[in-house]
Amino acid sequence: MTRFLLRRILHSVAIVFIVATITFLLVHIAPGDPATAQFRDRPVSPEIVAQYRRDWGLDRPLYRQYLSYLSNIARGNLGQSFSLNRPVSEVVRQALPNTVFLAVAALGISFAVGMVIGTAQGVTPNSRFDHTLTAATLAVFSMPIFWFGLMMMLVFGQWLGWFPVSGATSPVYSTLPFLGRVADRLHHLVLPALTLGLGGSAVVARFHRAEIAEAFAQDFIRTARAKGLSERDVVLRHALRNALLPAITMFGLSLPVLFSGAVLVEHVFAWHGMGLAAFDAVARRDYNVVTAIALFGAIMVVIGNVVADLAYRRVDPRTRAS
Amino acid sequence: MTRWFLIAGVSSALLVVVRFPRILELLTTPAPGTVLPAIGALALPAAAFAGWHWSRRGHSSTQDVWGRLIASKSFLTGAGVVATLGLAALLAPVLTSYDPNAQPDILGAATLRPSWAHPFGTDFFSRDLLSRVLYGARWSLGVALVAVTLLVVVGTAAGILAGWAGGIVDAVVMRIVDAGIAIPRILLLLVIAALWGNLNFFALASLLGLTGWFGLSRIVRAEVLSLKQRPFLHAARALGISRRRMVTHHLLPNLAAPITVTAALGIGNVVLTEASLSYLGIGAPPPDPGWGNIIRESTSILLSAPWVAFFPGVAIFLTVVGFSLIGDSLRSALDPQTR
Repeated sequence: MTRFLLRRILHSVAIVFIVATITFLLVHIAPGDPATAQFRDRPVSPEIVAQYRRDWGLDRPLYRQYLSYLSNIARGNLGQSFSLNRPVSEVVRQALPNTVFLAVAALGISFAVGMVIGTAQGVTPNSRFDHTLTAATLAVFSMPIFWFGLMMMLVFGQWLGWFPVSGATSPVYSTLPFLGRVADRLHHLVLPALTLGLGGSAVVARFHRAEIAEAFAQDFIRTARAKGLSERDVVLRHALRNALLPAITMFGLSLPVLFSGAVLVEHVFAWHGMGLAAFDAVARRDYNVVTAIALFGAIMVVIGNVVADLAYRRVDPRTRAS
Repeated sequence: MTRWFLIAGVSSALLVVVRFPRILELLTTPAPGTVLPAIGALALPAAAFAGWHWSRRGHSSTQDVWGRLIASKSFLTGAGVVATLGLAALLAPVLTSYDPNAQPDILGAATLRPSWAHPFGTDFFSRDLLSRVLYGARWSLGVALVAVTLLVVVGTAAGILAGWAGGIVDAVVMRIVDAGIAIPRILLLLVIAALWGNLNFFALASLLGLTGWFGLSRIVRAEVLSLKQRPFLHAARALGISRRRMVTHHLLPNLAAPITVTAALGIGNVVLTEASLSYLGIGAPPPDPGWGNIIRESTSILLSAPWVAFFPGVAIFLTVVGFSLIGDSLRSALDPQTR
């Protein structure tokens, strides 16, 4: 177990290292450098640009910059935001809770809804019920998530007026009592979380349907039925339990997609998280923030995958023997 | 059977050209940036199919696959949707008489509801939405097709390289793939777009292609690894066949099925990604329409003129559904075991 963990961690560090190298290279093969990007729209004297380069160490040879970039990352120093004039880590720390809040809610919705639909379909494969749900999940899966969000906003926010359409809290948030604050946050969470979660649930359902159907074709299901177990027990305790294992892998795989989706959904609903921070930074050409968030996102994904792997090994006795 | 399809295709194309002589003229007059993708939109899948068909000439399995496809309802639906969208993109100048970028009456004709004169209504700048969606198809479908072509080439090459070479090459390529999959793609694309500034058609298409091949290369590598163990490749090696011939005559034909399926499903994915990027502000240069751009421009008037956001979204939706149906039915037609 320790050896496996060690190998897995080394592997992850290698991936993060490559990601960091890629982002570094992207920044440096791009036309211009941070200095020219910073002063692109303002006429400034060459001395100021040169001073700026010296200040940020942009006049050093490339390999030196690369090494100091890596060592900064290793020490958790993400650099300085050019446009906000404060550490990137502060920007990230401010945006992170909102994103985690949204992502956890969305993950919960996508796995809960997706697995219920997938199980229902897998139990009766190729029935009319199955085909209808397959069409429904294909439809949700094929919608651009930002458009889905806009339509949700239109129907549930504007026409029905059930939910607020923008922001994570109302303007009067700070005057509310504790329970009022909780309710206000949840009220604002509904539409973004449903948009992101239902989009993901289509993927989970399609995947899970196949797993359940495959489990159903196995011998142990026939044995379970032959033992005279109720159909409920056969489905819940035998088929579903076996199909849960791949769902753990699915969890690890769905993280990058979730992150990309969050960028869009946060933009649609003006939800102040990492995605919106990255987007704002792009608009201001503050790419220290953008690269840091991209790197941060990759690290979260890698950690998520390690956690999924470890969980898989814990749950599946077959992997322990090796 | 195939001959009849060819005859029907060619004669209907001729009929269209004879019936609307404007097409040839229109296709050559506007900027090549908008015409090339439209031509590509129709030519690429045809060429791909022809190439695939030609490489398998004389194989009875081709007939089987084709027969299964024609018999599959979801393939016909998907192909119908995609063909309609492709034709609509190509024939945009014929189907609508409005210039997609013209702003005829910005005070009097802005955000008109859908009507006979403007089936999809007009947008905030009084532009006809139907023609914007039709011309937008050229951009959106064109970018997707170029990107998918690139994605297939790079992903296949990387997968074969990793699987065939093994060892250190395999490790390096696959770690790059792991890293590529780990970076949330939208963020990666945002970074690049922020650095490079405005991207033109081919830059955007290459960008989407070069950041989208990671998944395919994993599939191809796994396939190559399993093929390597098969007796026919051992036999080929024992016969002293050159490495190049091994790849072109033994490996690639066996990889055709998974690659075709991934490509078909990949187009829908690229259309979605391109639309997302355009929605975030990286897409067709304004005022040119792309589906994502139209939705982006519609958000400020979402509540007063929801149809402006609605129709381009439906177009994206139909494209992705169409290619998904084609991909899924190709998968089951090429691999009867999964049915």
